[in-house]
Amino acid sequence: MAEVLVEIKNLKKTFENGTEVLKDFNLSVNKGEVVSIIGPSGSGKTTALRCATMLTPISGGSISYLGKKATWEENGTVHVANKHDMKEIKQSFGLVFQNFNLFPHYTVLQNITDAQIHVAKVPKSEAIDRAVNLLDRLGLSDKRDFYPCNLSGGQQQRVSIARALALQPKVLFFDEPTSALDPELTGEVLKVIKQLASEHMTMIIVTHEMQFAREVSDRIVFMEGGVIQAEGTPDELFNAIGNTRFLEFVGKYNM
Amino acid sequence: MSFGVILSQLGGGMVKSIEIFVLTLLFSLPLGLFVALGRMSKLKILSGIIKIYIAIMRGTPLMLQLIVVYFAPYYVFGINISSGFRFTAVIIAFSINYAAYFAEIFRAGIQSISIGQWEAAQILGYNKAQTFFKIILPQVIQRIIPPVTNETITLVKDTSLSFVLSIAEMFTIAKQIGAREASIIPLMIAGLFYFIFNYIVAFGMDRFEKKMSYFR
Amino acid sequence: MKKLLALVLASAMTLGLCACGSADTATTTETAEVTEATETATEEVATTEVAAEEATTERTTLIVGFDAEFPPYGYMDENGDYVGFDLDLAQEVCNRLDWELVKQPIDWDAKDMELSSGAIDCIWNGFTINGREDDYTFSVPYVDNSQVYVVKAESDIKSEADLAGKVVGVQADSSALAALEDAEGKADVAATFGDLVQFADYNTGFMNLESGAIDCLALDIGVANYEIAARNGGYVILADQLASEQYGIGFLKGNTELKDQVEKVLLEMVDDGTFGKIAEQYADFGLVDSVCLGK
Repeated sequence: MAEVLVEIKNLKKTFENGTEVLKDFNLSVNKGEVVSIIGPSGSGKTTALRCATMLTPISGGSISYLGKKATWEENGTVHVANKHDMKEIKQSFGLVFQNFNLFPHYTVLQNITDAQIHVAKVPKSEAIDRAVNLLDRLGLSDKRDFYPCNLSGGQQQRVSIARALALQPKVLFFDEPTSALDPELTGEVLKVIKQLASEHMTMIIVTHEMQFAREVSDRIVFMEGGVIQAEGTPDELFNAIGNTRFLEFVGKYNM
Repeated sequence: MSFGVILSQLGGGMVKSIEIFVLTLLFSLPLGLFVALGRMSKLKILSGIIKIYIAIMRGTPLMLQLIVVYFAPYYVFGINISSGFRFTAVIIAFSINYAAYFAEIFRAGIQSISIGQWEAAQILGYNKAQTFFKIILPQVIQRIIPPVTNETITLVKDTSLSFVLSIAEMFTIAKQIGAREASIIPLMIAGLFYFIFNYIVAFGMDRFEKKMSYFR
Repeated sequence: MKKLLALVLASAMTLGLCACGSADTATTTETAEVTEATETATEEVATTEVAAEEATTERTTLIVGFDAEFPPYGYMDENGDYVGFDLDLAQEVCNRLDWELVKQPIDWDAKDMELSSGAIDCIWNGFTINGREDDYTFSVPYVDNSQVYVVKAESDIKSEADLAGKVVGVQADSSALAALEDAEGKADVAATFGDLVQFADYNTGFMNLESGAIDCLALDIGVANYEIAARNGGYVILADQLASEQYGIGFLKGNTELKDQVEKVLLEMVDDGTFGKIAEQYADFGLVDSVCLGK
């Protein structure tokens, strides 16, 4: 029986202006699984990811990590886990942003070690060891003393992946990790994610890269209008039996 | 009377001016930071009070504020004031006035930092204080150096306003020497001193700006 | 709202008090005498405050407020010390009473607030009695002073009548201004002026006169003599005078106890000739002629 890491049930999100972005979103991710969420702009995929990572409060439903409820709605009130549980929950996931959001005043090494040292309380020498190791794996060994502004977009995104991995999350979210990159730089980032997939890192990826999603995912979730329109293995979705809306959407990407 | 005597007397006044300048920066910069945070507070009462405070500080003459602070203990609380309070009053008045201006600069700086920086820190598990002081503030400081330099240079010249409380700073001394000598020269020399003082301040801030430009 | 103000002020003061410590050290850069005076000011005033509540007779200091830009009565000399006829008199009075004299320069416009708030004990600085009798408790008059008009030597203004249509300058809140605004005084003359301009200090006034921005300056004769001498002539005093007035020491209204103490010693000084000797030192400014005690 596979261990369920993330469980999202009946997630609803309504913005203050009344727009209902998520109507009834359900997703359960097992350990070692790679799930891609795709869909047109405004389908709610990024909002779903922001709710899952607690950047945006939910309006309804529940989100659990490792069987512990992180946030849930009950009789119209939204609850969050107590401080102690929340700390553990937050340590269990990481997020890679579309715009990297590296800390510009820190070097590459500091970006990767600072949270380890000051948040996770990892001894400094061990934090540096981990960082050096990660940079090595991601092909950035020679950049450890650079500031983010001196790196290409692809390099910055790889550093931000290293920063997330350094805290040893159980599941890693990606919010359109290649959307802010020049086309020739997306490859290096996708390669890293594929590498992680091959190491059985649990990942939930919001992306526009159809071909990549098809290659890397165990499961693809297709969203439209705040609900899941189709869900299945890449083969199930891309071949024949697929949902018409999905094929129409994919068709636009000339696949 | 020799030129040298005028210079040494003005020099003594300049030390006082520098003292007002340094102490004002020392108190008003941190105070301004907290005022800025209060101004951005979600607590409507707090941000409302801070707004009124900033409006008063920016909306009334600094010279008047100096007089009010010095005489407030007597006229508001009936406490007799001592002459020693003169200098303290100058520092209080300058600090609370400049804190209001610095607060608005800090606020602009803080609001110019992308929300993504806060979110990245939140995801990595930094608490609010760590996020602000370790991640946000260093970036804010880099961005606000030019407007802070402006205010700092204005402060150098504004120290001369403390003549209304007869603090023996450079401008007061220059006026007194001018009265004795029946001459405009001491005021001109004081002007030169202010210029040199500001030149050094501008040079220092420029160096600091360069030093802080290691990241973008 | 009042509570809030109190809170703000209280916190601001706590902040300021920290600054106080370093304030004292910096005064050492000034010349010795001033340093001494300032330091005693900070130390002694605290005791004075307490003493004032119990009994004024326990007095150990006298804080004299003066405009340091008012030679020859009170000004800064070339050593950076505050001197002048009035300050010398005050020093002698304090010596005889075994008090510490604190010479506190003040902004002339703030003199009433300084006095009523207790920051200074008296105003002793060529302080005109006439017209202010109801606002202060005055000592006996010790200087007879006239208010005069000063013009450039080459000016064609020869009398008060020639001032019609001209621009005249005075010091703000001065006796000359009071005379020009007094309906029973020179208000009718002032009405003929082209304009009446007020200056914060005499140096600015003379700079305006010298540069031709104004045609005439109305001021105390003692100051006029000093300024003209310091500028090596080039100016004349018109024969027509605005007013004659007397100088006294001004105390907070009702503080007759302190006034009596000071006045008693001042009169003793007149009797034993010390007063005259001090006036001699300022003979250049015409003070020997204008003092009105001991004659």
